[in-house]
Formats: sequence, C-alpha cells, structure tokens
Amino acid sequence: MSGKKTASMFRLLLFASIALAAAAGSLHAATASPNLSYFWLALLIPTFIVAIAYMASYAFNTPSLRAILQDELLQILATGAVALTLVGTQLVVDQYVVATLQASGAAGSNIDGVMAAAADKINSLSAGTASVLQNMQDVSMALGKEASKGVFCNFMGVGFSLSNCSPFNAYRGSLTASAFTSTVALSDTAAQSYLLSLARNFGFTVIIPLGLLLRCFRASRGAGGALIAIGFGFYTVYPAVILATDNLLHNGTPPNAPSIPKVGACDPMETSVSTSLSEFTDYGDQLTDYTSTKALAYFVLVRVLFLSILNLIITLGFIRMFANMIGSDIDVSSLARIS
Amino acid sequence: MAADDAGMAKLDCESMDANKTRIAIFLFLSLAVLLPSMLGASTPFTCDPAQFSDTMQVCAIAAIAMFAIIALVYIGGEATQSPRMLTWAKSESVQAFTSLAIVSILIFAVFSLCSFQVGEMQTIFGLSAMPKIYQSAPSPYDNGKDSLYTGAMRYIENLAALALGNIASLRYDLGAYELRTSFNTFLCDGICIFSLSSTSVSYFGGESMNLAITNNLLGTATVSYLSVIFQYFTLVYIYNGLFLTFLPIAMIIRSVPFMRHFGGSLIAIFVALYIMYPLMLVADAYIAPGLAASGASPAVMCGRDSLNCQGIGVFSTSTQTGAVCKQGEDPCFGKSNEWGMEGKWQQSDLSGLSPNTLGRAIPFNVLIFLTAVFLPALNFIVIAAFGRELSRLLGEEADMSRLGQMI
Repeated sequence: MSGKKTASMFRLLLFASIALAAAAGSLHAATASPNLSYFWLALLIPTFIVAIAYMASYAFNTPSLRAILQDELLQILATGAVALTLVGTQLVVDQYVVATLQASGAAGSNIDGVMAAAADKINSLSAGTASVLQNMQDVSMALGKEASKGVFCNFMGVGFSLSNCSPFNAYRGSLTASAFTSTVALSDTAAQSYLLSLARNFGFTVIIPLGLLLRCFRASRGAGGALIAIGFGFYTVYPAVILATDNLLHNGTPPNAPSIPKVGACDPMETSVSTSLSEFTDYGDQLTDYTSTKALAYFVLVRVLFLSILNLIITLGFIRMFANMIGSDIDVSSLARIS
Repeated sequence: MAADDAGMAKLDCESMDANKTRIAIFLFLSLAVLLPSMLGASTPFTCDPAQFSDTMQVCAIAAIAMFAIIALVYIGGEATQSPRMLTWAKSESVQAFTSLAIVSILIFAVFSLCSFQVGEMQTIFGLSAMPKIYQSAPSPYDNGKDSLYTGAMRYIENLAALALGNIASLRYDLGAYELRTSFNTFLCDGICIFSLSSTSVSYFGGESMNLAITNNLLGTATVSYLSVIFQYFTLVYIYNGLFLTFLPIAMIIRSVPFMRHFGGSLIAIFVALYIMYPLMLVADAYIAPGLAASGASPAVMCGRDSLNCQGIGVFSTSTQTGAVCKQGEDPCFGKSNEWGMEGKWQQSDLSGLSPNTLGRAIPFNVLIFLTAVFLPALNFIVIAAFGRELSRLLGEEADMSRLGQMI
C-alpha cells in the first residue's frame, strides 16, 4: 500500500515537472527575462536527497524514517504544484494584460507582459512628477528673485528703502510645501521603479527558485514560503495592481499635471500701492486657479502618492496571505511601516 | 506461543539496536571524512579553525560531562535497582547523542558555508554577471573568492561607505543652498553714481525651497546610514559574540535535561543568524545592481569630502553600471552664475557652489534607502520565518519577528 502511494506520488511529481516544463516554455516566449530552468534545479535537488534518504532507510531498516520521507515527498510535490501555479498564473496574467493593452491601443511593441506595462506606466508617472517638481523649482526661482527686489536710495545723507515686491514672499511657503509633496511623490515613483526592476531581474531567477528549494526542506519551509510569496508578490501581483489601480482612476480627469505659471517681472521702483497689490492678487488668482489646482492635486496626491501606498499595501497583504497559504507565517508589518 | 512472541520481540529489539549502531557509525564516519576536507578548503575570516576548535572543545567538555552524569545515574540505578533512574539514563543518553548529532550537523554546515565562495552563486543561479564589489576590490579574496562571511562583510562595508558618501553629498548641497540663498547683489542703473540709489536682488533666493527639500532628503539618508551601521555591528556581533559565546552556551543548555527546549530554541536563533543572515546579505549584494537597472541611464552620485564615492560598485556588475560617480566635473561642480550675472559691475564667484540637481539626488537617495532599509527588512522576514520553523523543530517556538521591526 505504502509502495503504491509512493509510486503515485512520483508519477504526480513527474507529471507536475512535465507540465511545468511546458508552461515554462510558453512563459519564456511570452516574457522578456525569466529563466525558469532553475525551477527544475530547485525541485530536483530535494527530490534527489529524499531518494537517497529513502534508499538509506532500507539499508538501515528504519520504517519510521520512510514515513517521514513520504511526507517530505508530498511536500516536494506540493512545492512543484506551487511552482506550476506560479508559472501558470504569470502566463495567464501576461497574456491577459498584453491582449487588453493591444485591444485598447495602449501597448507599444516593447510591451510583452504585465511587468513591462507596469514599468512603462511608472516611468510615465515618474517623468510627469519630475516635470511638476522642475516646474515648481523654476517658479520658486523666479518668485524668489522677484520677491527679493528692493530699492535703496541715499542722497545727501538721507536714505530710504522700498520693498514693494516683498508681498510675493507670501506664496513661497505654500510653494515649498507643494514642492515637498512632489518630492515625496518623485521618491515614490523612483522606489516603485526600483522594486519593479528588482522583481524583473531576480524574481523568477533567484528569489522564487531559492524559495522553492528551501520550501522542500522541513527546517527551512517557512523561509522558503516567505521567499516564494515575496518573489511572486513583487513579480506578478505588484505590477498587476499598479496597472489596475491606475486604470480604474481615469474618469474624465486629465491624466497629466498642468504647469504652474511663473510670476511676471516686478518693478521695485513702482510707488503705487494699488499697482503692487493688483500684481500680487492677479498672480495669486493664477496660482489658485481651481482647474489647474485640481488637476495638479489629482496627479500628485491621488495618482502618484495615494496609489503607490495602496499598491504596496495590497501587495504586502497578498504576500502575507500567500505565504500563510503555502505554510509560512510571516510578519510584514515592518515593510508596511516603511511603505 | 508466548515464548515465540517474546523471542521475536527480543530479536526486533536487537535488530533495532544494531540499526542504531550502524547509523551512528555511518554518521560519524561521514563527518570524520568530510570535516577535515572542509577545514582544508579555506580558512578566511570567521572560518578560522582556532575558533572552531575552541567551540568544539567546549562542546566536547559539555558532552563528556553529560555522559558522565548519565553514567553516574545509570550506575546508581543499577546499584539501587531503580527503574526510574535507569529509564532516565537511557532516554538522556539518546538525547545526548541527538545533541552531538546537532552539533556535528551545525559544524558541518558552517564549514560548508566557509568553503562556499560568493562567485559560486553566479553559477548556481545562472546569473550573467557578478557584483562589481566581488571582482576588483582590494581584498585577498577577490574575483568572487570571498567566503560567505567575508562576502557579507564586504557588501555591508561598501554599502555603509556609500550611505556615508550620500550624506556628505546632501550635506554639501545644503551648505551650497544656504550660501547661495544668502547671496545678494546691487544693480546699479548708472544714476547710482550720483544718487547712490540701487536695486538689490537675491538671484538664488528661490533656492530656499530646495533647502527644505534637501533637509528632508538628508533625514532619509541618515536613517539609511544608521540602518547600515546597525547591520554592520549586528554582523560583527554575529561573527564574534554569537559564535564564540552563544553557540557553546546553547549547546550546554540543550544538554541539561530540563532546559532542552530552551537550548534548542537558542540553537535555532544561532543558526538563523549565523547562517541565514550572511547568506541573505550576499544575496542582497547580487540583487542590489538589479535594483538600479530600472532606467536607461544610471543613477548619479556627486562625490564630496574626498570620499571618492567609495562603495559605488554596490550597484554595478561586470556588465552593467547601475550608478556612476561624478567628481570635479559639471554639473556637480563649477556651474555658477546661471542667471546671467556676467557683465554686471558686482559679481561674486560661486564656482564650486553648485549643488546636485534634485532630479538626480532624489532617485539616488531612494536607491540607498531601498538597499539599506527595505532589503534588510525583507531579509529579517525570511530569517524570522526560518528561525521560527527551526526552533519549532528543535525545541520551543522562538518569535524573531521583532528583529525586522528594529530595521
């Protein structure tokens, strides 16, 4: 009975390996970089070790060891199934995203999967945020220069100074706060871009194969599960969430941020208070224009900042749930705090 | 019939004892063959055989003491014909052998990792290139010949130098912005010769915004640096205190009958930190260049304070440059008078006071933060999961998740 069970396990493992190979071939064709041949290595090494131990159990006549090894073989089989699921899911997600983007006309020739599409999206957000920050810097430079203008006059020992451009300083505090927020947004896009790069380069080549290998051994099952969940979470779920949340937002709101107008030249020798006040209020009206302010806040606060936090929270939530599902209880609260 | 059953049971017991003896002999012979070869493979850094011999001496003393106690109890049990003492002695002798087996496996694992070279990770995972820091750094173990332990230390040292260089760069930018924002010029329109009147302008006054932003970046950079330094000292502690003191204590505690589970947990913590932590750091060394490979152009760092951008190789491999260092060249240095001040009567030389652009300082700062804070947080999640599972296997469950929260 025991022999039949073992034989059926081996058959299932063989079937899983063949299916994995087929899926790996398809995935390799669909995506740019993943090299899935290391999945094999990660599954074959523990299988080999278990096989050796199984033979040793006969050599030393220890039936209790055989029972443990059968359980371990089952775990290897389960790990193979996990690998197959990961590859299959990645394949389906890639095909779905490429088909959807091509149907909408949004996909370029370089978009071959969810990872490339998400990287493209983040790059466009990053360029937009950098543009907003650069615009604010330019506005700040112009504002600082104009607001600093003052006149000093001295004739026959009698002097006076006039600083009628200084009211423009009132806008500099708010502009700095806005630029500060844009800086955080730019940092967020850079961080997302780096995380995607990390996942693209090492998700399916190092992190997941290492996780599969560790998961096959009893002592390192937890660590293996954690690595698999982290690798898959950042390789597949994170880019998919980036695309999904961003596409859900567009509803008549302009996707790009408008430019803030620069202040005009201020004449420091202007003696009319009403003229100075008029220049001040006119520029204030331009700065607080409802349409441009709304579009700017939407782009920086919602589309970049809020979504980056939401994307990471969803991904970390998935990682925790998935790790738990494959036998690893991990605490991602430290990562959630960093996010 | 009953006599036959008893005879069969006796034969089974004898057969089981013979099996145990065979297994024990097999294990000890295997280790006897493998350990010298591991010792002879390489002896760098923490893999010094002298340290091992000290630890093994303590373990041997603990084992002999334990066997002596068991023997005494056994003799006492035989003398007093106490079945309880005899049973205790037998079960403890099995546990003592288990402890010996754990020690042997541990020492074997550590020796194996000592002989493991970081360059082998490239072969194992089929990676196209090796991290630059393992290729040409001034070390006797260059070209990927670092052991796991020297490799982890090298990575942390490079990252710490780079984090410090980033702080120096941002600190310089802050100083430059401070000076530039305070710069004021008087524009004379010709009549000032007679009327002594003029207009004053602060051309760089608007950079006070950059000052505030850079101040915030410096805070993040400081957090990154502190995180790396924390990891550096953790690694030093693991290499020294943990191995020389913690492991022998854990072994001895595991040999004490009523402290067995606690000792097992301590061993699990030791294994998780001593084996998994350097392994994860070396994995980080391989992964870090992949972080920086997101864009077409590499991240840029401005070298300040004669630090020469030490550690910049953390983000590069033999085939790809993820980050570059700018020193003594535009636009990190020498760009001044951007606002057309030439030709005026009043000029000030602002050469050498041109800070890095925010568009470059921010991504580099994020890169350092992810490498110094985010990746270690991931490491500790994996280490905590490993430690928990192993401690459950060896004794009591140990919750190591707080380590990650320290980051």
